[in-house]
Amino acid sequence: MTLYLLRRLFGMALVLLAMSFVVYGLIGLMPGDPIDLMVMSNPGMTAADADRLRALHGLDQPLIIRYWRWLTAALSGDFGFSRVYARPTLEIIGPALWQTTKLVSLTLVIGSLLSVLLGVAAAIRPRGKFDTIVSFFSFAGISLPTFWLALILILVFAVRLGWLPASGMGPSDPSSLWDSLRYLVLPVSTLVIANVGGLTRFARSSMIETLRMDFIRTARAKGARSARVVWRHALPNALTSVVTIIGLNFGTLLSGALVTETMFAQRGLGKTIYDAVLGNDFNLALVALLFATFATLLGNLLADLAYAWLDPRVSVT
Amino acid sequence: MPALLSVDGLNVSFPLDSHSLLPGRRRVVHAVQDVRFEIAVGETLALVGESGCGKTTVGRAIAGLGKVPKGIVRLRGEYLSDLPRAQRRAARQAIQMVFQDPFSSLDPRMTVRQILQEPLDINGIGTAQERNARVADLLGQVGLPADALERYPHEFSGGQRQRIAIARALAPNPALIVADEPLSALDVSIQSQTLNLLQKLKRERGLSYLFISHDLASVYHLADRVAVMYLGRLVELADRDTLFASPRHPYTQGLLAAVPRIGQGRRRRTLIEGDLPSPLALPSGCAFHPRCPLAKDICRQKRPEMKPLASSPAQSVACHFAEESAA
Amino acid sequence: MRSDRLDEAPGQDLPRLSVPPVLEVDGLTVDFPSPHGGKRVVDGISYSIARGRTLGVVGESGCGKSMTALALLGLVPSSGRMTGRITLNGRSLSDLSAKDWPDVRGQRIALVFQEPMTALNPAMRIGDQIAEVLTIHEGLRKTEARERAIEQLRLVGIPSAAERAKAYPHQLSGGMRQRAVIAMALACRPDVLIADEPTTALDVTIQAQILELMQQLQDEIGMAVQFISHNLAVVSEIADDVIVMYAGQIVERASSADLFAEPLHPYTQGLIETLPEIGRAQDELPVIAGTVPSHYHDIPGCRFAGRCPKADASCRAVAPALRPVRLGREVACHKVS
Repeated sequence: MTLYLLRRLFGMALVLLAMSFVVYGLIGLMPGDPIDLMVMSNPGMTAADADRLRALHGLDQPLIIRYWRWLTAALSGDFGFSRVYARPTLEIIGPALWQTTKLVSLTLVIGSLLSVLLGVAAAIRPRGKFDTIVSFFSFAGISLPTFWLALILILVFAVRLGWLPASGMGPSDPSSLWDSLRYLVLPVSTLVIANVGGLTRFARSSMIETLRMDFIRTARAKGARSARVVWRHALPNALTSVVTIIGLNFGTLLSGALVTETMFAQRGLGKTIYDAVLGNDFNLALVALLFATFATLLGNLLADLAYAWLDPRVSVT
Repeated sequence: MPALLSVDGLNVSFPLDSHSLLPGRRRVVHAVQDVRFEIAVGETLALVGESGCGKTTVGRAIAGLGKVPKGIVRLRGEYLSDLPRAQRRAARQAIQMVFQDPFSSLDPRMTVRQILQEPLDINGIGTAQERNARVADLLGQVGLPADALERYPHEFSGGQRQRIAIARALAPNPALIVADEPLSALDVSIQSQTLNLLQKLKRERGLSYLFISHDLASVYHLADRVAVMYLGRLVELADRDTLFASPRHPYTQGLLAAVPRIGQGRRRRTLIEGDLPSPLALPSGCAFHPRCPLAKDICRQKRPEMKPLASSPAQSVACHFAEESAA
Repeated sequence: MRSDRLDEAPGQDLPRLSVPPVLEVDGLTVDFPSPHGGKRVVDGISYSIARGRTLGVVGESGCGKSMTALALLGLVPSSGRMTGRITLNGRSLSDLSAKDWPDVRGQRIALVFQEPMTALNPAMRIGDQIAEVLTIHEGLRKTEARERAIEQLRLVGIPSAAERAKAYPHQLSGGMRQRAVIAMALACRPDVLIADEPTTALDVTIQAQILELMQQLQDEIGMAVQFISHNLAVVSEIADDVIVMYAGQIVERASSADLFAEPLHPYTQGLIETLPEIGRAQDELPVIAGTVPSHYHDIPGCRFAGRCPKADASCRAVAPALRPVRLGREVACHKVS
């Protein structure tokens, strides 16, 4: 187990290294550099000034040397500065990551519970009444565009009913838990509605498949009643494939909640990466992307561990 | 009789931890060790043993599927491993395989015509017209109606599918067919129909078979010679009548005694105790000693070599007590 | 032996006519209705098994053997419909409601399936799977049930049972798994054990071990066994009586000794003759032509006529009824006198 974890962490480090090299390289290959941007915004600068600045920042060096410098600095904990905010990148990414983590964790917990419950209930009688209703709403959830969904929720719950704030991340020193949570209700609802459909379909088909297996027949032949067959025998086996998907979703949601974050003015990781890329804030984009990658890898690792925990045939050694 | 296929020192092993970045002990399963046999033209050699004994791995190695095995495989005297790639492929045409499960071994999206024609196309056999005629001819040989050509595998029963699989194996005109448990997915009455078909093809085309099976009654019916495998090694090899009448290895004897037979009624069976040991931790000495009723100290210490019996040289046995253990 | 038991003392070696059967099946029929006419998979079969006896059920796949087994436990799929009477120890099972069935299953009547790998829950320890039967039916607490589960594993000859109880199914060999399945089925000492191809997936040496075990347990527990198999040789070695099924019906019934010594129905004859036999060299095996028809309930006349070498016009026109032809023997064939 320890060996397995070490191996996986080593693998993750390798992926991050490769990822940083690729992203750094891609940015380096892009025409123009930060100094060009400064030249554009400051007509008084001469070509000589620009060269001097380039030398000062080491931008006249070959790409590989620059990458090496960046890497050694990063490994010692110095992730450099954001050009736009003129602050250390970690100071920007830290709060964004925290915000996104809150959003995504709540979404995953609520969404997973909901999908598994709905999926199981639908799978007990495939093509039954309940299944038909669940299927309809699942497909509706999958098909609705996120921005439209977000708009509708804002219109109904913030504008019309006035129950919840339309956007923003809440006061920096919330007076109560609810005070900070209420800002998350609508974004989380949007993400849950958008994601629960697919996951429910998945949980349903996984459950139907499991309920057809021989050991389910054995359980019934033993005299187990339906509830026991479903929850004790079928569900743990059906969950194995569901947790893999949830783990994958984790990564996608982290950097992919962009639309939701934009609609609700939440400065999360997705929004930070997006703004950084558009604003030519290369270093911030690079570091934020690496954090998103790391979180995705972590999500997969957790999913694999959960899988091994649920399915004794999978050994993590 | 000249040997069509001769196999010597065949070894196949599989690494257990296949993709590890970290260095470390690599555990290896020795699935097949030191297997040696010959198959003559027109001869059927049966390879029997319990699941996990390596018989399927031998079959796949000879048919050129999976990993390239260590050891010598000669086809009509030519060393297969020495041939350049292209020629090796041509030589491989002469060895075809029929698999156990006719439900999963046929591509469900291909018509019977496409299934039968593919090996001809791949190996560039004949003109388009000749291929057409050949496909129709193959169908007749395995006893399927001509209108089967444009239909898909799922439209056929298990027995008919196995006929399609046999026709496909026949398409490149092989000299040897490796048949891996070709009957075990079929019903009783279909098994005998298939056995008769294999027998007829052998008679008509002078085919050789490597017939891999756990069903000793079908083996008795089809085979000329029988090789018994246990935990990756051959333990006994003899012609059919000798092997069934006077098996010398205690494992062969136990295997034969365990076969249920009609007309014996409820009986006490002489049992081979216990289970097959894990191939990861092979017993020392003779691999069969933990289950063997005759095991002595020497069996735990020294592995018996496969050698011909002094009294009947056509029978080879790997047992320290082969000479005295006539059943 | 005490002789005050009138029904046992004098009749030890006679057919146990006086012993009331444990299981009686009368006119069992399983239909799968559909808009296109549906399918009758099991068509009015009747038989009974006495305590301590083994009834072999043979036939090719698709003849209704396995569906019969499921029907006996009320496990016919929801798309199917079961009619007829099943009586267990004088109590009618066929009238049970869906709510009452679970009390019988695994308690008075138990099932062993073909594939020991897939028949066990892969995510549950062997011991827990056996203990579950005892918690369900005997209301045992967890620790007690675990103890009993380990005893059960010992009973079926699993070495170091306490340790194996903690293992998951994939950690056991095929033979050990099937022993565990048998341990589970017999945990409540049922009156009837239905074994559906219990040794088909096993190697011959393991098959011999399992057959031996089943006979030994039957001697100890005394349950009636319904042993379903396509393997005639296995059935000949384990069964006292045999019924041969074809296309959803019983075509022949006899004691095992009689049936294999002198099969009367052409289908039974074909099944036995077509088997290759060690020690009998043949150029060609006799075969039963054709295959089991997939829709058979609307075939007029004898359902085997299409494959039967003796069939004539009357066979194709009139369905033969299962009728007694000699002492203790019944055949459904016009050609047997």
